[in-house]
Amino acid sequence: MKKNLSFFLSVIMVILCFKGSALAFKYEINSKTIWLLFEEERTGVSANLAPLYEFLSIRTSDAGVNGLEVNLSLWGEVQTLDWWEGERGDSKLIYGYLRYRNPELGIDAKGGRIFVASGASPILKQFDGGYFSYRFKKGSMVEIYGGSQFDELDEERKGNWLTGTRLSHRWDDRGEIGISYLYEAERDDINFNRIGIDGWSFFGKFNLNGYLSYDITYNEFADGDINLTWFTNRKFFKELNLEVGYRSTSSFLGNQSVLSVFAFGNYFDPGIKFTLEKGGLQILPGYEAMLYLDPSRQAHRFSLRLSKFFRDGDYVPILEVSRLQMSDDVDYTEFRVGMHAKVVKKMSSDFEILWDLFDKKIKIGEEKAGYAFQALLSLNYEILNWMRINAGVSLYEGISSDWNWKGYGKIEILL
Amino acid sequence: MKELFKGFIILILSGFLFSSHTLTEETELFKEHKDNIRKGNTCISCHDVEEIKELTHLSAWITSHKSVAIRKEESCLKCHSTDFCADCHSVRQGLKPSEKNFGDLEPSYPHRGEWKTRHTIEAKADPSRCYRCHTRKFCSDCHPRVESPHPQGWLSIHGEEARKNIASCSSCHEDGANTVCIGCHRVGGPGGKPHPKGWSDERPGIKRTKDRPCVYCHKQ
Repeated sequence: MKKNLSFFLSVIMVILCFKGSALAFKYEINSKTIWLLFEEERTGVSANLAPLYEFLSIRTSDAGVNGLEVNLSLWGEVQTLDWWEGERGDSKLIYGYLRYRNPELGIDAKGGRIFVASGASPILKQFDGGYFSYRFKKGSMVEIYGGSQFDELDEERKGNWLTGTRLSHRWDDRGEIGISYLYEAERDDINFNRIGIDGWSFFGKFNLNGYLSYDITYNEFADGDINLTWFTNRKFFKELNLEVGYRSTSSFLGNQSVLSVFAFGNYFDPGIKFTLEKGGLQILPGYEAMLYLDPSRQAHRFSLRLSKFFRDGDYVPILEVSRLQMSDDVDYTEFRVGMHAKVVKKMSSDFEILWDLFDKKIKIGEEKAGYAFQALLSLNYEILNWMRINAGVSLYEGISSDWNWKGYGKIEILL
Repeated sequence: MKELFKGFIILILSGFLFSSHTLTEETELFKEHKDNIRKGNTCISCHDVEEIKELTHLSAWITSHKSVAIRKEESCLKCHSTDFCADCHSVRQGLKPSEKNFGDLEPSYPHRGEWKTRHTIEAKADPSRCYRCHTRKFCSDCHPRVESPHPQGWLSIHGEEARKNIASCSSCHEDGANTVCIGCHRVGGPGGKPHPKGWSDERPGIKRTKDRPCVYCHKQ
């Protein structure tokens, strides 16, 4: 197997060597080198941490063959001063795959460590495997993917594997509907065994999109959401967004948890979001107001946020009032004031302060939730048109933490 | 695997050495957009409103971008690189996005600066959100022994509270066969058997001798 792979890579390398120049081999490289400096306390022990991070991503297109891409992204970290036991350094491959795209033929194929978000998959799936899609000329599309998941959280491969497929049809830019299936196993246990239906549509000034998945193992609807947006395009009332979600508790806990035996209720998460904007349709609105209501699971979450964009976003003050009433034990009303601004041409600042208006209910350690403050001042300088340097310092203070500061330094290269 | 990785690196380096280098069209476009925004231009300075009507990033965007990102990946890539997705969706990168891009003026980044002081509030409200990206070990790194948060008289009301939000219980009490629940909720225990009336292991999909929650009590 290894010999075959080596042979395969050698062949591609030879193709690149001899055909690359003829096809004008294209690439982009993004490197971010970041160094932080701060003090951290864990269980009464203090340490001076100075982690150095490197994030590197490389993408090539027309890599020897028109439409062939190589994508690679990885990160590494090493502690340059103190470190906690077992946390001196770390590194990961975020993604790394070969991709072949041919829009004329309707083909898109990927192999390696990839991300897929498709149909019944509730979140972006990251796995080592392959993905293939074929789009028919009349708008239908078939997608199939599969592979082995590397569990980033537990940092081990627990015999996980998954496979999924989706069939869809798109009507130009007016709408799309799809049906999908996802199966995911962890050793002998089934994590996901779901079918799903998803779609979106633009009609007039409305956009409707959503999905619903059904758990075959548990014989019940697993989760779903539906989202209706009305683009009013009126002067002061830009957008109304209505979102209703549902999640089955037992299939969420699944057969991973003994608590699923006690789980009877299901989540029903209606959320209503209004967004008002002055100044017509533009990416940075003159000002906006957002109201969010979430009366789910006998909890009430409410948030009203007002922000104004001065000079196309150079200065953005924010006022926000939010309340979370979960139980007798969790009842929190927060008032937040913030300012995100370019102080001078090369300098930006990020400042927020918030406090609990009624100063009660939630306790963190021996203190009540009261207030938090954070400010970040950053100097951003472009040395060359492909290199930028940022340096910053942040201050923060709040419950369970005294005055803290953190130093930041970054060199970013974009080739 | 190491051989494969070496081959992959050699493949990329060889490509650079033996080919003529130009930026991809997407990179040029990306840089051009970033430069223009830095100069104070907005999207409608160059684009027709109809062309970009889906790309307005208003307050609700952070929770509603999924449907657009899935169907129009190419639109996102005009201004964002793939790493932009990975910043939030690939967990365990060591740095949260607000620190990785600390020079950005972005109020919507998850877990911004003061997060440390208020994460308990959000964790209490809906721990299942935390578990999308973090395990319990993430909590116990800093909170190895959390004192019981339950008030006096908890025993008599814990059933009702648990039914409201079992995921909240799972943030501390999900410990496989060692979970505190089945110490009492078992046949012959003070909590009795945990199954509701009408419970049947004939339910489709349940394998009493195989599924993890079942075998803790129903060992053969």
